[in-house]
Order: sequence, then structure tokens, then C-alpha cells
Amino acid sequence: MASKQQDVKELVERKYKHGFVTDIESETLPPGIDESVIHHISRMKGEPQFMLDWRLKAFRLWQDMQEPEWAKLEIEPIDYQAISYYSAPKRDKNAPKSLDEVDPKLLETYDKLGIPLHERARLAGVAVDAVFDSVSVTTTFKEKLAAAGVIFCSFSEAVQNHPELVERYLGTVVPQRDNFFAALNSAVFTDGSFVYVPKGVRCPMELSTYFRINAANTGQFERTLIIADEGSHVSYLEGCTAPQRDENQLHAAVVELIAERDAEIKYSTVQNWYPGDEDGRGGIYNFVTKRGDCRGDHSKISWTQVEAGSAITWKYPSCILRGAESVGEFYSVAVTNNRQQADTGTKMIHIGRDTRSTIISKGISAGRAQNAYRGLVRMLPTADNARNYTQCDSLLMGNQCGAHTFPYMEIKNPSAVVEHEATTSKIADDQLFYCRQRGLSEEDAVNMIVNGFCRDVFRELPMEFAVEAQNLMNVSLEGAVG
Amino acid sequence: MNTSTINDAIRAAWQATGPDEDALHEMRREALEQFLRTGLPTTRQENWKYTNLSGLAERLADDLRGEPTAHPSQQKMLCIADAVQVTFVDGIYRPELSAADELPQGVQLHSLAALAERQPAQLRELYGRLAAFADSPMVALNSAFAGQGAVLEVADGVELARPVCISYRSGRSHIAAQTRLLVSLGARARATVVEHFCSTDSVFVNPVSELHCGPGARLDYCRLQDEHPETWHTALQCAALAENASLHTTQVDIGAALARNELRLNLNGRGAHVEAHGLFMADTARHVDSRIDVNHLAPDTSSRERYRGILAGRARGVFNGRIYVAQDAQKTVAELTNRNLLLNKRAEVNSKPELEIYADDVKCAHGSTTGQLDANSLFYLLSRGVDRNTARNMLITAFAAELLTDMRIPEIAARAQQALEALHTDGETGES
Repeated sequence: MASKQQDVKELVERKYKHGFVTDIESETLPPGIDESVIHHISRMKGEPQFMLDWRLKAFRLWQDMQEPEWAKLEIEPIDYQAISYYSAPKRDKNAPKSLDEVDPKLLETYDKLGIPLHERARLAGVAVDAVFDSVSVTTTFKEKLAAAGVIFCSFSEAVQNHPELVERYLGTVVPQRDNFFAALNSAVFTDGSFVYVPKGVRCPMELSTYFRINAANTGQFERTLIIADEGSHVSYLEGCTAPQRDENQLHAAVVELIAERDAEIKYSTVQNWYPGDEDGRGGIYNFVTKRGDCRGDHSKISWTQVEAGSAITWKYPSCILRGAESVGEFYSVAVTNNRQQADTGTKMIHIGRDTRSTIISKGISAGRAQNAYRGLVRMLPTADNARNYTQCDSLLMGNQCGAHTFPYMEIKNPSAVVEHEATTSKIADDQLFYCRQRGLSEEDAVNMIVNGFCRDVFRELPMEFAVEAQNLMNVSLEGAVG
Repeated sequence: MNTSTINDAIRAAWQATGPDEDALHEMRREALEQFLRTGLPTTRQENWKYTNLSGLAERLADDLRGEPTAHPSQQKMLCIADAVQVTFVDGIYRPELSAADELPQGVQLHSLAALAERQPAQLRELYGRLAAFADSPMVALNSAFAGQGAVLEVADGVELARPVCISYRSGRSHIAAQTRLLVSLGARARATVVEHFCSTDSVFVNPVSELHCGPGARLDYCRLQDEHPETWHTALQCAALAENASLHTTQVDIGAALARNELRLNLNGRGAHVEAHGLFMADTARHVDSRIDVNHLAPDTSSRERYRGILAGRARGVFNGRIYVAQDAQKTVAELTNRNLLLNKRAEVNSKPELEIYADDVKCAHGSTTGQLDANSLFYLLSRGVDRNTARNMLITAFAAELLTDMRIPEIAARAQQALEALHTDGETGES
């Protein structure tokens, strides 16, 4: 018993591993939002007129919208006028031409985070479009991707270099009026990633972006747009860490995926933002709208996420299965500890015939955390022979936490088959006993069981992420067993 | 009609038909005010997301003013062998149609109106304890108007072997029948209670039942809703279980243009157990909404919920099942399953099984599946020379068989079976 208490104490006092602040001068707008702020952002980024109009339309819609209140979350009121909507690392007219010219402190930050730039990037075979606060600083592997015809760049560059693609696809999956946070993002987003994979191309490497929130009080509004044209294939990785903060930081990102005929997009996330301290002070508010549109026949979109960080997570990566025989997948592990709250899940909207979707969700709740799965499976009358399988399992550690499941199933086609299963339990004493009896320490035994619980999801992750996710899980739940 | 005209009409109806000054008058007035403040629920409220009562708003004021009939039709009577019979017609107790004599010692069965007059204190102890009108506009509406109903009390240790069958019949169009049933079982008492709703014309039925189960008590509760296809039916049952009490509920929803039934169970005492079964069906453009809310509030409690829905034609079904486990309700075991069968191309079902769990040492699971008749099974039967209609009926019956065979009252199972066979399944099916 004494050792258990020791473990709990260690866990409670564990400091956020990635908690540090890089001291770089930021060019930051004063807090507050009105139309002039949007004009300013658009001007700073040198955007064409259509982008400014698009942002203003979103802002006007946002002003009439209400924050959603249906989620099982307790959110401190957010003062949107107290947030600064633009922050860029300061740069003079002669921008760095190579990595050597990049601010060494910035590179040091990347080192601390273990981002594979320099040789490491080549070794890992990963192209990194690193977003530092709101402006992309450097991009690697451009040439190799360019040779394959793949466009992978920051959103700002895409607006400059490929305005026709941006204008054609932006907001077609998540329109400005979609929800409160998506509207806000549409009005003020500063940067993000843009991917276009042309017809028939299989992207030669995994694409990866590391997001990082830095300057205090700057909400980060990312916008990601990935288009996989006919018959193409792309796998995209997103991972996040953030410095320790006392004030809540708002993060309202939007991700849009478009898969044309026979195309496939695999989108993986490991999210480990600052979750706040043991009393729930600070921590990131993670209010994200992610949606994929399987536009063409036989297309496929697969979401895999490991959610370990953030004080509050509000996130429902979804698939619109429009094309016949298109496939949607959602694999998720959500871990909450201390006072973290998560309300996450997915939506599968079946429109086309013979569409299929799979949902595997694993929720782990410890400390005083609340973890909810919220999902929607909708079979429209046109979705003949559509199929869904959903499994949601929850694991509770400790008697102060909660695990909840809210699945919505709306079936308007008799030939569709929908199956949903959910279970909630703790780590069984006999499982633990068996492992202990084979000589494993209690902690190793718990790690092993938890990793087994999450296996269905982890094996969907690209290899380098799978290892990271497994370690993250062990750290997040150290000693949380009672 | 705008809201204020409707409210004026409802207030006038309340003054006209509302019972005289009695023990519950003050409560009724409060409930009325509460209802007038909130109005009918709308689909913007999460609990009413799929069930739209706007059609009821149009007729509510008229229905509330309706005059009860003197001569009810004899159609759709349910004759349960050896039952203690209590009958209400258009919401009014009819002693001449009831046979509630020869009850064993320790069993009391009253009409609510009579009890309000004779023993108001006793009534106040039971009335509204479980169904608070602040929780739901439909309870507020019932509380404001329900001057009639039945009260069954079974003393400690008494076993009532005969089932008590309470029939609510309605005979003429446009009337509101709002009744209240109060059941209280003492420690280790036993009883079987049947509520049977049948109307032969378009009416509005909004009953509330409150079921108290004392320590170690056992209650079998069955509800058969067999309303006219144009009737609006919104029912609520609330039950509270003390330690080691056990409750078995059976819900059968057959009729009504719009039927909504809600069962709220509180397992308050250690060791309490619930077994809840529900079978709902609808065809043409009818709507049926079945909900169950199980609150595990004490350790070592267990529950099992099994609900089946069969939807044909353009019918719309809704199922919502929620299991809640409080922080100190350790060692809870709960299992909920919902299976739905869609028989026609335009039938629809919305299912939402929920888990809300705050205790760690529990085993809770739910499952929900929806599909159509199995094409292979159908093909097999056709290949053995069974005609398509019979084959389909056999498979539909098989789908419901698990619940039908477990029904405690054979007459209800027989009526459910008959209704299954009479479902209108014309039109395009999803089968290939």
C-alpha cells in the first residue's frame, strides 16, 4: 500500500515534460477581435481579396453564434476579447535562407522537442513543416515531394502559390457556419498545412507537422487542408506539445480532408498538450473540428488519434461517406488524468451505397478526470447495404473519475446494418494478480494491460508514432492504479 | 394559435374541469403554473430531440376541455384470468366496471379521488415523491389535471397473488385522460400490477405512475399500450427500490399516432435488482419512443435491460437507454441491449444507449444493433415451401420471441403476438 501511495504522489507531482518557453521576440497584435483585426491578419499575410472576404463572412457569422453547451464538459467562460489573434516570430526583411540562418534558440526548441530536422529528419524519412506559433519557419524535403508532384507547404504559401486550389476546396468540408469554433477559426486562422496529392500519386513519404503553441495568450488557430486527388494515397502525422502555462490557452483548429475517387487519406494524431496542473489550473482548451469527405467512389479516410494532453478536449473527427463503397475509420485512445476533461468521438455519415465504417474507441480515465465518448452514426435512405461497427471501451482507474458513452444511431435504411457495443470496467484483480505472480511489478503489469487495452488503436499508428504513443501512455498513467 | 391563447385556453380548462378544493389543490395549481411557464417540450431539448410534440400543441386545449363519455366501447378489452380489475373511462374511475373486492388482509386499493377526500395525509405521503413536476413539462401537465387514479398499498410481508389490472379506456375523440397510479409495497411484500391503455378514438393520454418498493419487496409491473392509431400517448413511470428489492417491468407499445414511454428507475438500496423488458412496434407513419433511465445509487445493485423495436412502413422508432452509476455504487453490474428491426424501406430508428459512470469497480455494458430480416433465413423458409408472408411473420416473431416468452402475463404476450402479425409491412422492403 505504501508503494502505491508513493506512485500516486510521484504521478501527481510529475511536471510536464515539455514545459518550457522559448524567449523570442514576437510580433503580436494587442488582444481583442473586430473586423480591423481580420483586415490586419489578412494584410500581414499578403492574402488575395477572396481570402479576406471569406474571413469576414466567417467573422460575421461567428458574431451571431453561441458556444456549444451540449458537451459533458465544464468550461470556464472564455473572454474572446482577451485573446491576441496574431503572433509571429519577428523577422526582418532578409528572412533566413537556410537552417543556419534560423534563430538558434528556435532550433534549440526543436531539439528539446526531438523534432527530426537536419540529419535526423533524413534518417527518420519524415518531411516536417514545423509550425512555430503561427508562421511556418522552415520546410524540408520539398524537392523530393515536388518531384512526385505533391504539394506540401504551409497554408500561407498555398494561398500565395496555389490560390486556385485553396479557393476551390477551402470550406467545402467544414463551412464557415459549421459551428462556433470553426467559424472563429475561419475568421482568424493564421497558418497551418496544405497538402495536395495529384492523380494517381502515392506520396513517397509520411508527411508530418509538429504544432507548438508558444507566446502567452495567443490562441492558435490552425487550418489544415488535405486533398487526395483520384487514385492517390497519403499518410499524414500530426503531433503536438506545448510549454507550461498558467492561463488557459485556446486552440481552435480546423482540419479538412478531401478524398476523390479511389483515393486514401490516413490521418494520425498524437496530442500531448499541457493538461494543466493537478488542480486543473492552466492547460490547453482543445476545441477542434476535423472532418473528412469521401467524395469519390471507393475512397477511404482513416482517423487515428491518441489524445493524452489538454485540459479540455472537444473533438470529433468525422467522415462523410458520399462515394459508393467508400470507407471511414476512426481509431481513438483518449487518456485523462487529474482534472482533465475529454468529450471526443466521431461522426460517420453514410450517404453512398455499400459504404462501411469502423469505430474503435478506448477511453482511460484516472484521477478526477471525466472522459466521454460521443459519436453519431447516421444511415441515410440512400445508403443501401451500408455497414457500421462500433466498439467503445472504457477503463476506470480510481473512484473519483468518470467514464461516459453517448452514441447516437440514426438509421433510415433497412438494408444498413449498425452494431454498437460498449463496456466499462476497471483492470480486473485477477489479471493483475496473474501478472504479479509471473514476477512483473505492479506498474509494469498495469502498463502491459493498458497497452493491451489500446492495442487495436496503436497498431493503426505509423511505426514511429506507435512507439511514442506507448511511452506516452506509460508516463501518463504512472502509478494511477489503486 | 399563439402561446398566450393556448395558455389561456389551458387555464380555462383547468378551472372548468379541475377538481374541487382538496388535499392536492395547491400542488395542482403550482404544477399548472410550472407547465404554463415551460410549455410543451420541443425538439431543441436533448430528451425530445427525435419526438416532436408540436402536433399536440394544436389539439391540447380542445382535448383538455373534452367531456367524458358514459358508454365505453367493449373493443380491445384485456381479460386477465383471476385479476383484480380497476377500470377508468376517459380518465374517470368507474366502480361499476371494476371488481376490486375480496382483497386479502393488508392490501388496500383506493381510487385516488376517494383517498384525497378521506385520508389526504396518506395520499400526500406518496403523491409526487418520485415524479417531480419540476423535472418534466409532461409530469407538470399530469400533476395539474390528474384528479383521478388508483392507489395500491401492500403491507409488510403480504403477498398479493392475484394480479391487479388497471384498464384505462377511452371512447370518444378529443379528450385528455391524465391519471396517476401510486403503488407502495412494504418490506418483503409482493404484487403484480398491470396497466392497460386502450382507446377506440383519437385522444390524448398522459399517465404518470409512481412505484415504491420497500426492502426485499418484489414487484412485477406490466404495461400494455394498445391505443387508437390517432391517439397521442405520453407516459412516465418512476420506481424507487429499497435494499434487496426487485422489480420486473414489461413494456409493450403497440398503438398510438405518437407514443412516448419513459421509465425512470432509482436503485436506492444495496442489493436492489431490476429486470426491464420493452417491446415497441409501429407501422404506417406512426411514431414510437421508448426510454429507460436506470440510476444505480447504492453498492451491489444490478440491472438488465432488454429492448426490441420493430418498425414498418414509414414508422419512426426512438430508443434511449441510460445507465447511471453513482460514485459510491461500487460492484454494480448493468447490461443493456437494444435490437431493432426495420421492415420497410422508409422505416427509421434512432437509438442512443448511454453509459454515465462514476464508480470504478463496476461491470457495465451496452449493445445496440439495427438491421433487417436475414435474407438467408428467409430464403431457407421459402425453400421449404413456406409462403413469403408466413415466413416473414415467423422471423418477426422469432425476433421478439426472447421477450414474448418471458412475459409474466400470457394475455399480454398473446396480444403482442397478434399485433406483430397485423403490422402493415406493404411497400418496398430492403431485402435483396
